[in-house]
Amino acid sequence: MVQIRIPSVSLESTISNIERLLQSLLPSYQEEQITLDFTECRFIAANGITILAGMKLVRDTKGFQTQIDMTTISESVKKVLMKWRFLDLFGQGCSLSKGTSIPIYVQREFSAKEQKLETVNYIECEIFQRSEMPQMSDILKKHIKNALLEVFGNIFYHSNSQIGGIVCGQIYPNIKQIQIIVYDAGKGLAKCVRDFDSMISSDVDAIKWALRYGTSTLSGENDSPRGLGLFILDQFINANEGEFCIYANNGVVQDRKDGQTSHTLNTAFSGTLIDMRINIKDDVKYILASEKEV
Amino acid sequence: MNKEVIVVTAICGPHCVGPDDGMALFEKMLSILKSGNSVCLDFSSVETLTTSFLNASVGKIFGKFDYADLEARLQLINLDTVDQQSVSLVIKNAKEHFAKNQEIRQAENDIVRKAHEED
Repeated sequence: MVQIRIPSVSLESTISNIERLLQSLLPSYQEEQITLDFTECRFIAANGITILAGMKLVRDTKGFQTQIDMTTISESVKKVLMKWRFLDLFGQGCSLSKGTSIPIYVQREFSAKEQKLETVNYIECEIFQRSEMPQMSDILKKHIKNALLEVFGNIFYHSNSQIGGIVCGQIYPNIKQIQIIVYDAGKGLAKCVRDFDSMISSDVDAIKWALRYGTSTLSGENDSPRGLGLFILDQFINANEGEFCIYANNGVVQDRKDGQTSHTLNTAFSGTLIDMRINIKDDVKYILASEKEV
Repeated sequence: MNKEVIVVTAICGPHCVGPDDGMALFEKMLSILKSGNSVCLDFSSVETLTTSFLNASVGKIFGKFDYADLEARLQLINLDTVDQQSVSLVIKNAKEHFAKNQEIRQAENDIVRKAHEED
């Protein structure tokens, strides 16, 4: 049984934190039996929890065994893991209040109407109808719901993820912000783009390409216009003065109010993770590119 | 020429989120438009509308008919402000997409890729 020491994943310096977490998880791809050791983990943010949940579900599909050494978890971290319903994945459910956490949601398939309805119900119940959620207009709600469903739906049409998609998040009532994370353990957005256009020379450039207006890796006989989902997300988050960060393969592209930055990971990321921070603000006119120069 | 109304929720339900749903709507629109009639898409009671759905339905139909013909024979009603924005973006993208051939699209990609590489 291999022990994996889970590092802290704080809210600050997120990219370096995520990189440390990815490095620590490297044995999880090969080893048939692992135990997660939280001795060094003092805090874990929603994006870290999402990656751990994805790792556990991928291992389940391979029939690998994943355990948690509960004796290594501090009370504060245990509480966090319970609020996000992470321990449910290990058969250790609890009735602890979710607080301001948006609990882990897993959807394996997204073709039947019931599966879409289930996802919409999750968004309504676990995000919008929560008492911790600050008031917001119906227009902003609709933009958030559409952005989330665009990104979530993409998983099932592009990524070939064997675990489907995972959503998780956090409400920050004091600063009127919500964080929503969407993750898949598929091929990775950057790899999809680079397989489509082999001339794109880096994963960062591939992510930037996918954010452009009207680009898509799906083409062929069924010729239909595509490629607006991530572009719309980008437009909406910019108008909202929020931020998002896309991790795919070895690339990271972060879009914030003060501009776009990119980073190359030393440890490849398995799949695609989109980390969105959305401000609950209604004093903004959410104009999309259809009404502006593209 | 008759006008046929398609109630979108009757085909796709209230959550129109994927290209699979969009394709079902596209097929229905195509058969009516091919018969020479006009189509009115009624979006009342639609709660969720994504561009991946719209691309596969409203966007795709722009590849089958002349734009002026569609403007005369295709009507979309009961869209709220947010959905109207998505529809406008999808139609703009569709017109641009079908106006270009594959070589032009490839040449555009090459230009953007070179720009990224020079960053």
